[in-house]
Amino acid sequence: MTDLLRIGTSSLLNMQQAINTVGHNITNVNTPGYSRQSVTFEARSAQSYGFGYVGSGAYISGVNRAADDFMTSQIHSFTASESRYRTLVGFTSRLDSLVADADNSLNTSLQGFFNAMQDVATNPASMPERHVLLSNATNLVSRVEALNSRFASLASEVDTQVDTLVRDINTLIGNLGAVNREIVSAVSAGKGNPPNDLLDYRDQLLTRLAEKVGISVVPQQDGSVNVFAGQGQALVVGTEVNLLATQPNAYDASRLDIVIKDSPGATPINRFLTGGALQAALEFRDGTLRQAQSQLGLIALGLTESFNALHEQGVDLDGNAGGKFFAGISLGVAASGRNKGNAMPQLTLQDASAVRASDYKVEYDGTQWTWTRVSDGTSVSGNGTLEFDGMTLDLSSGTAQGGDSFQFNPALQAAGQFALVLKDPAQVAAASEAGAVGDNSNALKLAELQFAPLVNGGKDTLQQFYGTLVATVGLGSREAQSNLSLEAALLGQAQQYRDSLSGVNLDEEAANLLRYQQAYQASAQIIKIADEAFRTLLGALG
Amino acid sequence: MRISTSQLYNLSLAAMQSQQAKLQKTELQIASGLRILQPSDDPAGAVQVLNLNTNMGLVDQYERNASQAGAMLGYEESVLENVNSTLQRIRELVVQANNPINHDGARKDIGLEIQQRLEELLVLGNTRDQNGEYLFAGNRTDQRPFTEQNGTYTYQGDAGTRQIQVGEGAKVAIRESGATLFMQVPTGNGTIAVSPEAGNTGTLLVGQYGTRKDYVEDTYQVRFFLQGSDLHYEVTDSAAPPTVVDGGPYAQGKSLAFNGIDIALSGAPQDGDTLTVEPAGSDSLFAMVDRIAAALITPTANTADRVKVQAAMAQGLANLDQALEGVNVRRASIGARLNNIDTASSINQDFRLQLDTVKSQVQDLDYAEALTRFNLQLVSLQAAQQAFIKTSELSLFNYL
Repeated sequence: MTDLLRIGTSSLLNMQQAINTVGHNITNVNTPGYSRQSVTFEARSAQSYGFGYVGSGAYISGVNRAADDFMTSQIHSFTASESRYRTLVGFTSRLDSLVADADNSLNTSLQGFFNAMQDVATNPASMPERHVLLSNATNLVSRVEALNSRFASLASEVDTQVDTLVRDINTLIGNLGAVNREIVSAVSAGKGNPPNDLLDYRDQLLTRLAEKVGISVVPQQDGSVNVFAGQGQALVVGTEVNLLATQPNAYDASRLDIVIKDSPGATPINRFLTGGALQAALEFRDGTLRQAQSQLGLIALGLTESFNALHEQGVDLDGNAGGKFFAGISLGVAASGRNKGNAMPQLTLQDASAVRASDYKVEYDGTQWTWTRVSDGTSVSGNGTLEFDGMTLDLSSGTAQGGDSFQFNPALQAAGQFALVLKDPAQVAAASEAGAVGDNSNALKLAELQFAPLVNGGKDTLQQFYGTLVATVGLGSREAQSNLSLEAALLGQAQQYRDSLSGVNLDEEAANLLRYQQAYQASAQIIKIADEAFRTLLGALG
Repeated sequence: MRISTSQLYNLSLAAMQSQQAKLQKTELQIASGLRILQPSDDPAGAVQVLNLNTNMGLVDQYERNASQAGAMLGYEESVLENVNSTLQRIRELVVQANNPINHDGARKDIGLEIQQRLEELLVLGNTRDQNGEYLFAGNRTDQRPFTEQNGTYTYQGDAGTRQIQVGEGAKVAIRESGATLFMQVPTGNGTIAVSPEAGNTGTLLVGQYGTRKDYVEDTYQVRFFLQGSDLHYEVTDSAAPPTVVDGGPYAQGKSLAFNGIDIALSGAPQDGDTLTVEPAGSDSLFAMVDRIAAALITPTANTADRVKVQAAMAQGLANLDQALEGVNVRRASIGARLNNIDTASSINQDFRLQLDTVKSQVQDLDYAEALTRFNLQLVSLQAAQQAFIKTSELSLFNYL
C-alpha cells in the first residue's frame, strides 16, 4: 500500500513537472531561439516477487530540448550570409538610387556642358552663350561635387557602422565567454544534465554574432564552445575572449581597419572576417563604393586634363592665350604609417587618359620597387623612375627600407579637386587665332572632346565611362539583391527546419496539457485508492 | 511535417510582406510609367537609356545648331540678294549712261546716283547680324570689314570661315570672308582684260573679247601706227626685246585674233594709240563702281573724251557682270549649304524618332502587362490575408 501511495505521489509530482514544462513551452511560444522542452519518463525498475516483477512507478529521466546541432550550425552560417547580403543591399540600393535619377545624372550635366560649348562654337563672339557655358560648367562641377560628397558621406557612414558593429561584436563575445562559464558550471552541477535555457540563450547569442560576422563554432567536452570568426580568427576559446578594435588605415586615416584589440600596430584582419554585416560594410566601402567614387574621379581627371590642355592652346575674346578652364589637379602618394625608411616617391601625371579608376600600391622589397594597379594586379618593377598607366614615379628621393609601402588613388584625389577656375566668360578660348573674335575653331575642338576617348586607358568617352559607373552600381546592387534572395531562402528553409523541430506548437501543448492533466487526475485517484485501502484496513482492524 | 505556432505566423507574414513588396514595386512602376526605376532593375537597360539620352541631347543640339546655321545663312542670302539688286541697278544706270544722246548733265546725274549706290554697297558689305557681328569679316567679326580712306578701299577682315556641326559628321560653314565678293572682283572678262591707253587720241573702242583653247597667257601691247598713210597695227608680247606676234594693215572695225585671243574693235584709232591685253587681275568692287561714277561725273570736252566715257562704261559693265557672277556663285553655295542643313536636319529628326522609339522600348512600362500583374498581386495579397485570418482562428485552446 505504501508502494501504491509512493507510485501515486511520484506520478503526481511527475505530472506536475510535465505540466510545468508545458506551461514553460506555452509562455515561450514567442521567445526567439527558444527550443521546446519535453519531459521524458522512464519506468522505475520493478521489484522482484516470487511470482514475478511488480512495477514501481515512473521517474523523470530528463528534461530535454528539441534541438539539432547540425541545424543550429546551418542557421549560423546562413544567418551570416543572409545578413551580409541584407546589409549590402541596404548600402548598394542607396548608391543605386543616387545614380538613378536621369534628370540629375552626371550624364545630363555633361551633355548640357558640351551642348553649351557647341552654342559657343556657333556664336563665338557672343557673351550670352559664354555665360551659359560657364553656368553649365558650374552645374557640372556641382553635380560631380554633390555625387562625390554623397559617396564620401556614405563611406563615413559605413565607417560609423563598422565601429558600431565591432562594439556589438565585442559585447556578444563578452556575453559568450560569460555564458560558457555558466554552462560549464551548470553542466557539472547538474551531473551532465543539459541547462536547456542557457543553451538556447547561447545559440541565440551565436546567431546574433553570426549576423555581425561569419563564425564557426566548435563544441567542447565541458559544454563550452569555441568560436572562430571568418577564416579562423579565434574570438572565444572557452571562457577566454579576444576582443576586436578599429584603427585608422595605414595610408588613409579616414578609413577604419579591424584589428585584434590590445595589439597595437597589428596587421589588419579585414580580409579574414568573412560573412555577416561586417564583411558587407567592408566590401561595400572598399569595393563598389570606392570603385564608383574612383570612376567619378576619373571622369573629373580626364575632363580637367584634356579640356585644359586644349583650352590653353586657344585664344580668348580679348586676344589672350587661353588659361586653365578647370582647376589643376595635383596628385600625391601616401606613405604607410609603418614605413621605416624616409623615401617619398614623386608622382607626375603624363597622360590622364591612361590612368585607371583603381588604387595603386608601391612597395619596396629591399632591392627594387614594385608598382601595382590594385584592381587587377598588373604591375611594373624597377628602380629610379617607373612609368605606368600614364604616370611616372620618381623613386630616388629619400631612402626606402625593405617592406616600405605607399598607396594612392589618382582618380579619387581628382574627384575631390574638380573645380572651375575660369570665371570671366570672355576668357573662354573659343578662337585659335588672336584678334579673330569670330573664330570658333578651338570651341569646335573643345566641343568634340565629348566624343574623344579621354578615360580608362583611352577606351571610353566621358559619358561612356559614366555608363560604366552606373553599370558598376546597378550590377553591384542587383548582384547583392539576387544573392540576398538566395541566402534569405536558404536561411528561411533552415529556420523552417529548426522551427519545425524546436518551435512550440500551441495545439500540441494544449493536447499535452490535457494528457498530463488527466494523468495528474488519475494519479490523484491512485492516492485516493491507496488512502481508501488504508482506511479499509484500519477500519477492519478497528 | 510538424509546424510550430510561430512558424505559422512567420510564414504567413513573410508571404504577405513579399506580396506587398511586389505590389509596391508594380505600383511605383505604374505611377512613373517606367519599367526601370533604379539601375539595378536592369543594369544593361539603364546604361542603354543613358546612351540614348546622350544621343538625344546631341541630336537636339545638332538641330539647334542647324536652325541657327540656317537662320544665319538665310540672313546672308538676303543681304546678298540686296547686293545683287544694287548691282543690277548700277548696271541699268551704266547701260542708260552709255547712250550717246546723253549730255554731260544727264551723265553727271547718273554718276551721282551711282555714288549713292556705292554707299549702299559699302553699307551692305558692312552688314552686321543680330549679335552685332559683321557678316563679311571672316573671323574678325568685330572689325568693320570694308573701309574707305581717300578713295582707297581696304578689307579689315580675314579669310577665316566658321564651321558649325549640324549633324553626325556634317559641318556647314556659316561665316566667310567678304574679300572675294567685294575686294577681288576679276577684271576684264575674268580671263583677260583689254584696256585702251588713257592717252589715246582716236575713237577706238574695245568691243567683245574672249579667249580660245590655244590662248597663250601673256601681257600684250597692241599699237596702231601710220605706215605711209595706211594705218597698221602690231601686237607684241612681253619678251625682251618684244616679239611681234601679229600685225598688219588695220581697217576700222577689224577684229584682232592672235595667240588664242579674239578682240572686236570699233571706232578709228589714231597713230600711236595703244591697247593693253593682259591676264585678268582683280580689283575692289567699290573702286570699280567709283571709277564708273567718276567717269560719268567728269565733264567731256570732245569726242575723244566721250569715247573714253564709253570705254569706261564698257569696262564697268564687264566688271559689274563679274561682280554679279561672284554674288550669284556665293548665293548658289549658300543654297547648297541650306540644302545640306535640311538633309542633316531630316536625318537628325529621323534619328531622334528612332531614339525615342528605342528608349520607350527599353525604359517604358508595358501598361497592359503591368496592370494585369498589379491585379494579380492584389488578389494574391488579399488571398494571403484571408488565409492568415482563417488559419489563425484555429486553436485547440478554443475548445478547452
